[in-house]
Amino acid sequence: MERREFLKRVAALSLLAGAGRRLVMPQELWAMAPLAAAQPVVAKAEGSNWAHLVGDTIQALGGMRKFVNPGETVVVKPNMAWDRTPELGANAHPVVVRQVVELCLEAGAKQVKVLDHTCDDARRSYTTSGIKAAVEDLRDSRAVVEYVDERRFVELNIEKAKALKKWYFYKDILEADRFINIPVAKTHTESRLTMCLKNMMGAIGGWRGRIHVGLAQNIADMNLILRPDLHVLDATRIMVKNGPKGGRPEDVQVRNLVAAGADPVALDAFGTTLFGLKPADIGHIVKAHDAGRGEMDLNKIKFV
Amino acid sequence: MDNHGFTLSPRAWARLRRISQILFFLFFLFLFLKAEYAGQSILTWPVDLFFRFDPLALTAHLLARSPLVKGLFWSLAFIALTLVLGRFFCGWVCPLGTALDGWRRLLFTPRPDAGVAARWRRGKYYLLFGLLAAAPFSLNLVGLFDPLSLLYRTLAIVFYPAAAYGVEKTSLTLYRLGAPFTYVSEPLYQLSKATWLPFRPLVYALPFLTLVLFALVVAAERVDRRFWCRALCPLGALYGLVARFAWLRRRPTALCPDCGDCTEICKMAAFAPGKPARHLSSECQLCLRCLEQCREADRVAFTWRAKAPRAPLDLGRRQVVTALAVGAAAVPLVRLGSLARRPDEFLIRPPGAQNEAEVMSRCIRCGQCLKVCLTNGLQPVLWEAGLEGLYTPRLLPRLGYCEYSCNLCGQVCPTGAIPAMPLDVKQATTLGTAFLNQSRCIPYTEATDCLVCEEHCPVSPKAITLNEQEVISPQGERVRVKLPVVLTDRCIGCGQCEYVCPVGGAAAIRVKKSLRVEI
Repeated sequence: MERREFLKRVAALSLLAGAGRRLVMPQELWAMAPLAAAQPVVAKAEGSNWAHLVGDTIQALGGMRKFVNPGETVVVKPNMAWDRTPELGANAHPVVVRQVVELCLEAGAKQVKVLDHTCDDARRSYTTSGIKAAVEDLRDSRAVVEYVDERRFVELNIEKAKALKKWYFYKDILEADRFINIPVAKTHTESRLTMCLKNMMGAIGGWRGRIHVGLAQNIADMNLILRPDLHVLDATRIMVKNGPKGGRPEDVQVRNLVAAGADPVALDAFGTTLFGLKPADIGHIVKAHDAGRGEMDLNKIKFV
Repeated sequence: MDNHGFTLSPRAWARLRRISQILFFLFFLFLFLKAEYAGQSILTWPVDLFFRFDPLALTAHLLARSPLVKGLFWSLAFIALTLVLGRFFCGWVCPLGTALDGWRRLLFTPRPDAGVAARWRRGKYYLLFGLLAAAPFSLNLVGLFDPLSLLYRTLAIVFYPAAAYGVEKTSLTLYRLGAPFTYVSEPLYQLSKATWLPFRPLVYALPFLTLVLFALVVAAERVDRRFWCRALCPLGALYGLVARFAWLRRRPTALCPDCGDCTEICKMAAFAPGKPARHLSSECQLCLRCLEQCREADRVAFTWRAKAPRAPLDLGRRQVVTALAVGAAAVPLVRLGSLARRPDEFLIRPPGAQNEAEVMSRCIRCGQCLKVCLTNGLQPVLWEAGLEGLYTPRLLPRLGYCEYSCNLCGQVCPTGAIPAMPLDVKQATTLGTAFLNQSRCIPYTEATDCLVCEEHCPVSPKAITLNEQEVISPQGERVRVKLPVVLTDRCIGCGQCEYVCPVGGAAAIRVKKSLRVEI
């Protein structure tokens, strides 16, 4: 084949492929289910076997099959943002994450992706947190631990947002059938506490430092787009000082507690009591409640 | 070859040499790629292996009376081998030599040598003497001219980031185009990602200077084959001084009067001027092209038993003395600049390398620390440390910080310029101190909370804490704000605060030389 002929054919093929793509696969906007506010139900369990706690809370909510149907893709987003070992309490505990992933697999998920947009170096955070090893230890090809791919952040308009009108969200999370959030309960100097709502910071891209001005409203706004089907609040040990990064065992208190639910505001409201605070003390809980993301009145939350 | 048990044909020997070159070059690249964090805190491969076998680094290190580094003494093995074989390193091992051979074949049409390198042959010895004369005065610049350093840092600063950028951008373009293209591009991209691409795109200071310096070395190939090796390379000169006494010698020991083709065949022009034109074992790099291309059978051989007198290595007493004097005189001259006395206040050195004089006298500018740095924060210095600081490493926290639980740079440093420290020692090592610029910091200027610096501070208890105060906002309202403050006695100067500071341009919190670090 002549060079000229080859180039012509390549050009023609590319055009054809491009046109075909436009016709067959229209770009669509992602909408995360469910849009309706979840029931303010919080399941909690206490005990020393942390893996069982996860099973117990999810059982109390009706079992994993209520959240994950067979053949669905699931993204699990634990907090594994920091290059800290499990006992330092900066990340979700690997036992908890592993149990959630295992339950998803048992429920028949087609694929379970575990990922977080970390603060410290991703390789170190994934490794040191123990989560990568714990999930890979399941030896199930459906469970994968993936690093965030910067190319996959897409810019979305947040229609009802008050401050964060537009931001970058992770495509895999938006496209997944199910999204499960596993925060760890910690103090955080600016937002005071970080749990379910604040953990969504690891599902967004962009220069995240920039949205720390007016953080409370920004967190509430990003939670309008990011609507996990299930939140598993890891309070097996909570960080009471030097949050969110910690670094010393004395920053951490062991509480042997796991709480789960579909309402992040209710879970966070419950979480404040672990630290001796009230839901109204935390700016982003109030803002998320105002935005209709859930129930913050502890009296209206049903505990199971 | 002197056929005692060896039955390889001349052609096979030459092929063996080429294979050796390629294998060592690939090994060099492999170790280069392995100088990266891959899930284990201790690197699995001895990534600085080539530098352990670098007698030039060892010589300068000893002359500068730096603390002994055991690893460097492996290079004595290569000195011993050179005493037996000659400059085999240059022809069979040196990855820069291989790279130059490759570039020449790629870029230039074969042509007769211009002969400049042959006239400048002694230049490399003078360069070597000059460099070594400065070393006892703790001015150790061998790294700037060491071929391994030159190649490694050029790879690290220019070629590797550039190649990675090309692949990243191409894959991104195809990724954006979507479906049919990604069927091909994505598997290829993921494969590259898993094998050779850096974890995240890398950027380094001085890419153009580095590229130009390397391009000059390559361009000299157009004038003469292996110009660098013949006229400039101080490591080649060091090996040449030893190879003069090599047991293995070429026979015939001079250019044959009836032919003389070897003057053109030889890449190194390893024949002394005059008649008979004696073969110079100090120049010969045993490429064996003369053996391969000789038209007569069994005429050229390499033998242990040549008795003929060797060509003298006449470097000229005056010139040698001049070279030594220039090297010694360079010491005060290089250090006359004010930066040499009081380095830039933002010149933050890697962990453990806080003593400027020690870093300077030990660093061989190889660039391994730049390559291995987890965050891409280690960057080459231009003149911020005075003239002699060129290509020494510094931390630029705006590009990457010093990761609290990482000590990789100390693990790869072949000369101990960055000491290999256990993690707990490294974590207690102070690089500098963070200083807040209250006229740029958001809580101070806008009276709203920010605290990203405090959030990321890795020491516990945190070196950045806050004062909650009621202040008058720019709008004239009374508001309570959490104002960050640095507790300098806790700060280790890792620069993570500077890295994450959301203020554009220069961060509102910057690491400067510590109040407690000697300068």
